[in-house]
Amino acid sequence: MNEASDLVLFFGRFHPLVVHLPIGFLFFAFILEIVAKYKKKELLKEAIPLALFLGAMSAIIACILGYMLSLSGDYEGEALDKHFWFGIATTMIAILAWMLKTKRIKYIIKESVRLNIATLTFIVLLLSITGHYGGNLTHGSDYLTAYLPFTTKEKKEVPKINSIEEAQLFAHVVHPILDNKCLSCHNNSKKKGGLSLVDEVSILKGGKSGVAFIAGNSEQSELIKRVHLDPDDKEFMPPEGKTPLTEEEIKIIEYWIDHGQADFTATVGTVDTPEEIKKLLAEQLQLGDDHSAGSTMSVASPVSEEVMASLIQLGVNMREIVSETNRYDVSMLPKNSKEFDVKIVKEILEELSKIKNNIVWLSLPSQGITDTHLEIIGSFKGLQKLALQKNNISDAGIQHLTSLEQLESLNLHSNSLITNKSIQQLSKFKKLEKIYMWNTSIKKEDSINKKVIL
Amino acid sequence: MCNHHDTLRSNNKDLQQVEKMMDRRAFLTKTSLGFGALALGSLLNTDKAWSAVKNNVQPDLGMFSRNDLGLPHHVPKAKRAIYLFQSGGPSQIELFDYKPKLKDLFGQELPDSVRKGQRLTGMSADQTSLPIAPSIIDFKQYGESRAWVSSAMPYLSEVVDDICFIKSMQTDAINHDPAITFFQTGSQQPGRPSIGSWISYGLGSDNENLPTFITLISKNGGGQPLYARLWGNGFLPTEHQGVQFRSGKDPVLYLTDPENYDGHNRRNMLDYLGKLNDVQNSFYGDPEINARMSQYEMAFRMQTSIPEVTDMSDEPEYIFDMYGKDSRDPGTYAANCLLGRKLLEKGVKFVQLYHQGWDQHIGCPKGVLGNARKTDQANAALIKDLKQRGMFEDTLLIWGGEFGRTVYSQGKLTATDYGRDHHPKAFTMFMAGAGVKPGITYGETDDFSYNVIKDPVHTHDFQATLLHLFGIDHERLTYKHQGRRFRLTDVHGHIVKDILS
Repeated sequence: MNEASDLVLFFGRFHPLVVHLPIGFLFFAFILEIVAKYKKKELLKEAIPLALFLGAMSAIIACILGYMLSLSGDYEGEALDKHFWFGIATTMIAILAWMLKTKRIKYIIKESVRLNIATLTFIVLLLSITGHYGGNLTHGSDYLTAYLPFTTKEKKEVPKINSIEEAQLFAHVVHPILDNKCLSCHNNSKKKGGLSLVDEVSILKGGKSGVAFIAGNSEQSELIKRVHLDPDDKEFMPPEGKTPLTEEEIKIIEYWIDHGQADFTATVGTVDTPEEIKKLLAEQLQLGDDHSAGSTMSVASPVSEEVMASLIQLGVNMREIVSETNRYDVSMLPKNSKEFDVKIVKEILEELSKIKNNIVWLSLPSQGITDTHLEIIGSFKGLQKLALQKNNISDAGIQHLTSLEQLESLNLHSNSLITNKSIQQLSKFKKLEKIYMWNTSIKKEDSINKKVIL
Repeated sequence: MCNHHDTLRSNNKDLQQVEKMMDRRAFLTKTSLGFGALALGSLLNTDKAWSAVKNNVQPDLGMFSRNDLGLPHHVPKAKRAIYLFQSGGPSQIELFDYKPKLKDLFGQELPDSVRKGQRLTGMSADQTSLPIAPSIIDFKQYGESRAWVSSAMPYLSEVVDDICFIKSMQTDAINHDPAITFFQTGSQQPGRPSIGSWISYGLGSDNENLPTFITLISKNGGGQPLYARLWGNGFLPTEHQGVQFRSGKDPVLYLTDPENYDGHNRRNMLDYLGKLNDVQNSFYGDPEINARMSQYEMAFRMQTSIPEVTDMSDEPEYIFDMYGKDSRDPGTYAANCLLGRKLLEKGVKFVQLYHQGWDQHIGCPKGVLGNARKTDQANAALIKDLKQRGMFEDTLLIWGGEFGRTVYSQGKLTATDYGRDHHPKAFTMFMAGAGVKPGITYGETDDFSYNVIKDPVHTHDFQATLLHLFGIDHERLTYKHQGRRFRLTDVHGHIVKDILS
């Protein structure tokens, strides 16, 4: 099958160009028939045989060219078969329609107009089906519907993971890259270069130039060689006009070949993984260190519009920490002690507790917050930063905060009632790194905890 | 189509003619652009338009809940910044870049192998000799980080473990005007938005009652002039311009009501003015009208917010003592540092201080010591103050000038006196606070403090890193103007990852 001569392939590649001629001619014949009938323009009828003739002729040529193209071996499977047979059927019907129309075949039914319209409708239908299968061959079967509104995109079921170590090298990391950048040309129905990268079986089979990956040797692996070529090189993958792999993606695939021995079941935990790769993996899998600058953040469920509106009206500043994550930096501007209103604070906190899963940073300086308010704040489990400086909090209130296990930074400066007792409670926090206690009742000489900043 | 005929119509025949012409033009632009904008909006927002949850909170609710520009791009470390600009070009050789070997080379000619044909300014290019001038100010190492600091900055030496010194700064410009414009706007030519304006444009305000970007200038500053374009908005919407507070008692003029007017009906006046401006806006569609309206409203709110934030009576004595005795004198550098901290506490995002007078062409040691005396204690106090308030973890502090100074003496070199010319190839800045590694020194210069030999940091790299700390990808924060998408870092800039914590 791969023995087709260059000349055959040269002409074969004109198929995608030529196919548009029969589509145009035949569809135009259909339009002429309709217009002639309903607008009573008899003159138009004279053009129909010509349109059909040209349509049939160009369809024959398209069929031949199509067959030549299929000899390249780049296209295979059911999709090709369907396109092939529908193409031939369309051509046959077109010829038949032309013969009927020009009375080269005698037929018995008298109402010729109806017959004509029926054949032509049938042709248009066949054209559409053939064209659709052809399009699938070129662009991939999900090309047309990928952005179809109101549908949820089908995703291959891959088990969910919570840490990088659990991730399967191939299923979680490498395959999504291939899927994104290679699969549109290297799938089971369109095997450019005889290569399909759909699954383990077809990858191991390789393509015309041999196997794609050599376990443990990325330098000799054909796929890696190809993506490293000069982009102007004819052999460079992906070809011109398609998005190339990023450096990070190449590094990850190389890591899979070299460290993971191109194994399809290995997980990151079982493989020796350099730090640099770990970072890349964490980024790709959107896992790991959430808060370091330059990192991403997992997405929370959206905040209802009413809650948002009422919070904003209460003077709360809602700022998304990273755009479109629905995770918020919630803050209020410091108030004058004359403006303190315990009731309003309570109202705000109750409103905030409706969206507590969305709050990551909370800053309520100088609001007149007292110990009882901390009960509500203690339920905001996702809090990483909490700033409550210049309020009226005492040691008794601090115990409500012990449930905040994610807390990294706690600001309690200028809460004059806080003493050393609080520090003992706070030392239980695992992640807490900074505790600001300046201007409280804690004295410098009492403090031994390094995390406490006075 | 021409409904504004009812609202704005002239009796003058010529003017009516003009209005009609305007109609046709307005019709064409409004329809074509309008449909274009509609189409664009749907392109950009398809998933939002189709999702059940509408994220747009009504604009009159004030604070936004979702950033229109898709910012921040990643988790920000800095929520606000204070940039202590040392205008004139402070001498790295007298302050931070310790070069002991120079002592033996006193008075010797700067080797061509070091200068490598580097251009000089017109002020020293004609000198027959370029004699090496070692610093006569002593250096010592401080803190756990063993950072070198000269005796000119005794207070700063106490907080070196909180600071990241960058000794390998480089810039493209050699004279003040282009160099300072380059640092503040990313371009040597005027016309681009300043760093603070980009931040304001990108991230918006945290306190609607105060400008997002405020500039404070030390009073009685001599030396190189400063110009409003350094805190200007360039082509960004005018609201993002930095607001300069005057040094002295009244930081913003005309906020107090005039004599015999108590301001009780100002709200009414502004509402009517707003209506008139609305009419004007619907007619001309000039964005400057919106900017003017929002500035009027801002000024109205500032009538109460400014006296409040500039009121120093609630600051305890020991805070003033910490910042030094100058801090009681409004308009000084120390007072501005203290005011800057208060502004940051009140939700101002970007405070830019300028201190002039670092241009020591003559009398370098004396000049450096004099400037250090005016600024050193306040610099250190600001770091300590931010730290104790818990603000140091999300406030970025930057200290630096527009370039450094030459190792050779400009003018006569004596044992106790020398001058130094501008030097863009190597100089020192420091950053501290949000997301910056504390207690490190980054980059190295050669024995002459003339060339960078390790880890150069270009001005654009600094700008890229600054934006990065605010959660902004400097390549993605752009503004389309005159057919081109502009960035703060133009087509340059690499994030200095090694100084990020």
